[in-house]
Amino acid sequence: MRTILVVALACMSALTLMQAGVADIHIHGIVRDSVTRAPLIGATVRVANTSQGTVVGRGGVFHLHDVVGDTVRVVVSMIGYASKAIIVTGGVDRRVEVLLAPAAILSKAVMVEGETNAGMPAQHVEVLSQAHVDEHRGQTFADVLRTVPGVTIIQTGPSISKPMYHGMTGLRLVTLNAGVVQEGQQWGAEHAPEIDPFAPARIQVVAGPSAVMYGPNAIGGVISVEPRPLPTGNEAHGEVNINTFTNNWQGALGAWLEAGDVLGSGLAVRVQGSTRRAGDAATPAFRLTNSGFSELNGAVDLGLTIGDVEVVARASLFGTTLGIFSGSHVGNSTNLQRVIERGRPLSVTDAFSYDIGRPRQEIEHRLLSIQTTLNLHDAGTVKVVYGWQRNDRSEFDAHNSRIVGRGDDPVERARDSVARLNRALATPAMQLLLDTYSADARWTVDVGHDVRLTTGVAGQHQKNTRFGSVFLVPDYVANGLGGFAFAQMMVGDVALAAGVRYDVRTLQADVRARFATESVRHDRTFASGTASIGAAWEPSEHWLVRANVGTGWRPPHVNELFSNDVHHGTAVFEYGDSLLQSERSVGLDASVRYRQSDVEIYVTGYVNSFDGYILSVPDRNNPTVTVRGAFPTFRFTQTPATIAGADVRASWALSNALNLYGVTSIVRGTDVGRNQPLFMMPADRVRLGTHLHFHDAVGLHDPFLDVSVVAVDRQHRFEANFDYADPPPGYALVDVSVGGIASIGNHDVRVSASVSNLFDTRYRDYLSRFRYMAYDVGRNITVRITVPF
Amino acid sequence: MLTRLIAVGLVAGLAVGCSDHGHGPHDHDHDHDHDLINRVTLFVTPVSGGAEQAFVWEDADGPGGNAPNRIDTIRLAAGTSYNGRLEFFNTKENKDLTSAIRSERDEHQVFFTVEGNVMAVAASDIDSRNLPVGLEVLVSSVRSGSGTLKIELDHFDNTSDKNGITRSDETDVAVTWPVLVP
Repeated sequence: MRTILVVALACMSALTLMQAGVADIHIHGIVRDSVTRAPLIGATVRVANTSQGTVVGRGGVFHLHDVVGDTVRVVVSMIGYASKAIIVTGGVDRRVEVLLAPAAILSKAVMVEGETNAGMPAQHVEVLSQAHVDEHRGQTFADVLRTVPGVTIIQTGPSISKPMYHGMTGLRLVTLNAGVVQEGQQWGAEHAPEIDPFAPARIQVVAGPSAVMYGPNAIGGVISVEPRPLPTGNEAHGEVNINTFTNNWQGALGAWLEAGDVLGSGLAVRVQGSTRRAGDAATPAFRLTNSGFSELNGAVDLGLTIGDVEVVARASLFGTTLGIFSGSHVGNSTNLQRVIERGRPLSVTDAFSYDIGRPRQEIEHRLLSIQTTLNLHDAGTVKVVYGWQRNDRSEFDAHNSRIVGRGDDPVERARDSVARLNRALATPAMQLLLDTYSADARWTVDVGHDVRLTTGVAGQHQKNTRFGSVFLVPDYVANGLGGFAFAQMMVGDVALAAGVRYDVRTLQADVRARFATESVRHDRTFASGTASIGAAWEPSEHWLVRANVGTGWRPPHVNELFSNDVHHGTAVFEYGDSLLQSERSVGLDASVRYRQSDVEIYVTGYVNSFDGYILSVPDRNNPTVTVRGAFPTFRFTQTPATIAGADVRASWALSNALNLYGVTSIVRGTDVGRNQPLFMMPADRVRLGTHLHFHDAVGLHDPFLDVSVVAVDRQHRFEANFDYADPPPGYALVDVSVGGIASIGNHDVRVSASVSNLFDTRYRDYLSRFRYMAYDVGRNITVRITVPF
Repeated sequence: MLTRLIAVGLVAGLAVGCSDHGHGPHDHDHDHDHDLINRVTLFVTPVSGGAEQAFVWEDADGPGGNAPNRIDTIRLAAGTSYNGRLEFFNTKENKDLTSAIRSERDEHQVFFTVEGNVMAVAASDIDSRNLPVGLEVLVSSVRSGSGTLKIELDHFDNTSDKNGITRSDETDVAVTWPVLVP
């Protein structure tokens, strides 16, 4: 890892020299509806003949920095509007206003525009633009997603956060990283996605027909993480991000540098690196001892186009050491009940430290993706994506190891016990090594004028190796093969999309019980189909209606089949069921967008009905008696279930400078078979805010001030006696952020400061796995500086 | 060809980055060093002299799987006092872990809970701060009848949290025997 960073830094300094003398210009603009003058949030802005571009953010504002050339052509497009190209000339800083005329129907051009997205116009897509992503740099990957309507976070202390979308997470949500389905140990609620939060330029959350391209498990949708497009011209750019966080005294540094047409070879290169280091986080009452973390990530992207063949390759390395709050580890259920009664662990401290002891996780994720696209002109395009991933996860237990030395001589025995102790301390309680190879090929072709068809095959091979004394997942080998077809078409003024897929998955698990010397081989094969259809209709410039209906499935995961151990964070003994069948879902989602002058309202509703929803439920009559005492027994089982909900997003521009916005999410999960609410469903929440934005003020370009309140209700829907503690009360937090762009020398430096949990409110979130023993983190002041060059 | 070159280059780069990370075959299965207790024995000898008795609690296959395979009934003579001791053992590795606990006695304490008021148990050993440990005990029968004895071995991460009374959040052992006094 260190080697890569050194290489990256060397490349950066070399390229900095290379690009000296090239004058860059900056374009700032506002995109509006030509009729209503409403800001068009989400419109795409591209610099013609380059890969440079951005997405229009709040207030209809966009910024394009470091555009090379004296006169540039900028193309602005948005679904439902005719694309417009403008010529920008003169001056270093240029300001433009672009008015887009509404198109009566979704035009063919729009569909082409949608081609580069994981999502298509006919289906529900939530996009986090680069500006949005930038606002959250330095936080965890899931925290960046927090602002997307419908996304909530399962938190295991400040260092580990896992996204949940529409009540689904982990095994029901696919993360697509540089075109490859991310494969880590997603089954664990305390296992965060291994994504460098500095890497993505754009993140999309997609649900609907195009999800068929990413296989089973995409029941809840696809989170697509896209790196910046590589430059195509002879140009070089870079950026340095510096963040500090006061709550845990975190420092974060990210940098990337890219160059197109290196030495006239046509090769485009980008190197990127980031590091984060944090100490113990503070709740309003005490510090979370041992909650610090350190992270070091690096990536190299290469792109080359020769004739009709384009190759884009990405190699990335994600490495992190995550401390886990030492007070969260309890011995047995009686211990946990005592902690809950006390509201905190036995001893807590305000002392701050960067030390990371036990328990902790050490994770390395390596990814190699090679995407080759062959342009066959009239015969369409063929794209082949090859992926290799290695996920290496070690979890170190808090438990003191009792070590007895061996040998007849006392001195020899003492030496032996020290050696054994050191070995035990360096040995994870659980280590999982997961290698995944994937390859898929797809062919996209236009059939006539109004139909675009994509067909493909996808294969996957996976091997998991377990080390240690924790029996949550066994050694296994899994293989998958699938075929899919996906079509988009225009029928009158309705855009339609439909996808079908069939997959076969095999699993060979070698399951060994604790204290057993022989393992038992289990062979399972799962096969099923996925189908989905969606439509979008824009009857007038004010209204947009979308709907999707689909059916999906996922095979049971190995931990659901073979888990056989205690979860020390939750003090339950969880047993898998090796006979579980695949989980099936039928889902319907619909959204309506209304836009009139300065008001925009977007409402999404969805319902997913599951057959054989896999969950773990208490077996109250059979507690597991161990030498540590009796643990409640939980067994994985299947039940009919429904998850339904709604998201509403609204914004109201009071003036060019002042914008009010609100986002609310409601999720209802029901175990229909047992007639009980599902466990760990997010409570109802709403965020209301005001965003003040000027063009130039206090010596800054585009300064903004954003104040918002998030209010989260108590989760009133819970099953009695399921959990050790009832859901915590609701809470409200105030967040403030302020920032702008300062011109320093030739650089447009983005600076921002934000305060989350302004009043240091004491609260416990229902989805926080530490709610039993600690408050969530208190006030946190973040300063971010981004220097492009 | 170029694709392959790029691929080879990238793989080589990754290999350099991870060369310090080995998984030899000897790494497989580290169960041994995490010395798990799966047998607890209470030994008692009448203070007035007599044979030592042993009462065993054992879970041969460890946590999960089958239920504990042996839980003896503690049978005490009426109106008798005993010297007792506890033994914590791993039957799979055939290792006595009591001495390891004794050497960390400042971080450990055994707590005793009697239901049915049939017997009394008190620690007779102390740590460096004169706080009870509970590996050595005084046992006496109180009245005729049946009840239970629960012993809990608590581990204290911070020695300063141990005060002889307060329970820790990390109980390493918690087992219960039935008790019968004729």
